[in-house]
Amino acid sequence: MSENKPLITVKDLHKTFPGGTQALNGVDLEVQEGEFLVLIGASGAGKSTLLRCLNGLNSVTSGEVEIDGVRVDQLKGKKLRALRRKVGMIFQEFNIVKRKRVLDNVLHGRLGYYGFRGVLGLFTMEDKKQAFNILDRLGLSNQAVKRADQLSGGQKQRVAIARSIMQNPKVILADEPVASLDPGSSDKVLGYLKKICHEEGITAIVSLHQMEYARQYADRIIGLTEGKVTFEGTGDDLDSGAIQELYFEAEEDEE
Amino acid sequence: MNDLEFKKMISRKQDHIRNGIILLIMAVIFVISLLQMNIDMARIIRGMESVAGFVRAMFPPDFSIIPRVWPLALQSIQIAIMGTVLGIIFSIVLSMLAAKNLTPIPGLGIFLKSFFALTRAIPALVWALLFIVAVGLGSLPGILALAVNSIGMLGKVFSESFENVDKGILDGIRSTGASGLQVFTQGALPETMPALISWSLFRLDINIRYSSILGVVGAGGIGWELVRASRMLDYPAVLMITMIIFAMIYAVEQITSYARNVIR
Amino acid sequence: MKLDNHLNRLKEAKRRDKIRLIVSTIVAIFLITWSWWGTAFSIPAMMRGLPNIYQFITEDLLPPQFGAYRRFIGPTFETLFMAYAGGVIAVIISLVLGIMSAGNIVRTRAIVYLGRAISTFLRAVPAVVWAVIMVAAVGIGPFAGTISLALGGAGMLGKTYADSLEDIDMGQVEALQAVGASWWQIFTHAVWPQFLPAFLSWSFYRFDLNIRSAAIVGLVGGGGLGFILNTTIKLFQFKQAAVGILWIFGLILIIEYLTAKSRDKILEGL
Repeated sequence: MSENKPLITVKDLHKTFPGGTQALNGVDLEVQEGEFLVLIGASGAGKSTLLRCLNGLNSVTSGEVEIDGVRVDQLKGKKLRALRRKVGMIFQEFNIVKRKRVLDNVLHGRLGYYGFRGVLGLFTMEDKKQAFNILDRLGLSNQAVKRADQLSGGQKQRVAIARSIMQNPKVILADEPVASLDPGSSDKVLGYLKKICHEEGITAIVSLHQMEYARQYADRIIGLTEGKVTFEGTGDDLDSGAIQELYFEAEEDEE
Repeated sequence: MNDLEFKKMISRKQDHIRNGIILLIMAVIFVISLLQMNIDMARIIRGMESVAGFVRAMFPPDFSIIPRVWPLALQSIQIAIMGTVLGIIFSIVLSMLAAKNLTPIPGLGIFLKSFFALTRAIPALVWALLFIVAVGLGSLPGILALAVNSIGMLGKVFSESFENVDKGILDGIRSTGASGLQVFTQGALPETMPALISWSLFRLDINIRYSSILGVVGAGGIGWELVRASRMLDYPAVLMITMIIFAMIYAVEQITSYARNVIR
Repeated sequence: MKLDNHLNRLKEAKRRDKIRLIVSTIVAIFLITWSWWGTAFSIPAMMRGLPNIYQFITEDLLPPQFGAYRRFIGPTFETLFMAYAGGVIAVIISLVLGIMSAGNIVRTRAIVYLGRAISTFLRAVPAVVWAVIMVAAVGIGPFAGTISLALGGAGMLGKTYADSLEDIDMGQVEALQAVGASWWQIFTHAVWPQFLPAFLSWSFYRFDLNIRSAAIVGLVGGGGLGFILNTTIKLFQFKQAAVGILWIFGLILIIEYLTAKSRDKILEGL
């Protein structure tokens, strides 16, 4: 990996929710272009909050978030939408429109590039073909015109991935993408995700709570505990000592 | 797959055409309906002007009529309560006879349920008119009209509640040698009580709405004042009465809704 | 220690329930007594009235003069037109009202509050009251009737549309926000598809209710079957009125059946 300026920079990020919960307590992070980065940590450690701060779904209490030279934490309105085009997001619950066809869901990824025609759903033939191609690369060409709710969980998540790829993004954020899937589908989904990100040169930040997947797929692993980065390294560095620190010390502090 | 095949595969032309036709037909029928009722653009514009003038004439509402009209509002509430109570009493009896699992006379159920449908489908106001002719003006026809209309709805839902009671519970009581009536009072009734109360409160809500308008045909209550005021062109009074009716209905709605929540 | 607390709390809860029961019963008895007295309700009077009612039904109403059915054909169509046109207008108004009143779609609290207030007012005022007002404003006839149906209907649909909109899966909305879509794009692609089944269901139901309301609204001058029914009764033509009542009854049943059937079919096809 070349030592260029990192694609994503997070400086001293704090996020406190209205109820008083301090989700992020000073996170510092740098992500290089093309990395497949995995975030791990216990529930409530702040993985989801961190990801959502990266595309503005969560506002920032203090600190800086920079993606490709743009300060995300200061964006609003049209500029925020413009940034979101370049940042894809995949959710644990898939969040695809179940009543629409698979192909239509993938096309939703282009909405940020359309204006009024997007409201009416008038996508170009080129975009439709590209959507189909992406589905093909993810092994879903046979499902393209089916209604999305007819697909299995793993397939639905792949549709979500296709939707993100359709955005032609620089970054894809994945918030516990396989938490709702069985091990077989999880492997498939993570495999496809890594492959297509690699092929397209997309940087990926994926939050997971399964250690094995982290070791297997990550280029680099970042561990969060109570809103702070407490681990940074490769899969090999993630030994039982490190895991102990990440998960069990948090529990001890509770009592 | 070439371009043409691809286009065909993803085409939703059929759906779009079908939807378009449906919308078009609906729009055409809409226009036809208006025209058949002699509502053309000219009429609509005149209508809007009339309404605008009317609204202007209504403000400010006439608060001075409250002392006179207030008792009538209360009377509407009383009529509704009496009508509901009567309706409940009759409904409990009739619905027991109509419930398949409780009735002593098989086959009576179908007859009664059709009766319920009939009394339900005929609007309360029509019942009021009929009762007025039969027993004269006043609050009695209103009470009877609401009672009969209530039986239509409560009879149906009560009997359905009874029929949904766990067969095991009823059989258990029956097996001790209890009479049909005892099975009803000791088994079905306690089991369904929350649902019965909830439905009854709901019906009270509905009856308050109807009660406010029964007066329009002379069956007592505040409705009569409304018609009188509009005939005398006393528009501020009309507004005031409308506001009172609204307040009445809204208040009862909130109370019954709260009560139904408390019943869980 | 813990077990004691638990038992105490249970006792408290039971006591509270008992108090609630007693209070409600007292309130109910009070209300009923008050109503009984206020309406000068007397069972003897009702009993005396019953033979009257019986006589009225058997001699004056029955048998219905079926031959007079022709009088009701025109008004039937008028009723249908009123119900349909009033319904269409109500749907259009309610879409605006409903979106305004949905807290998850419109973020300004004031607008949501206003929308809900308007819907509540339109809904609480009975259609007949609207009809009386409209007849005073634009004259007797189906025009007044249509507007009253539209207003009352808008109140109900405005609320139910808003409730349905607030029930949708916001995750799908978030996903499209993350994609960079605009508000309108998100509405058409994530909100509307979820809203559609409830929209159709409630709209069909409203049309159903409109038929009943249309029949009644005529009684105060709003045209349609109610109007002619009122005329026949005022003219003491009870046997014809009986036909009118049966006619209304039949119409309501038929429409109920048809709307139920088509609603099922359309929801399937979606």
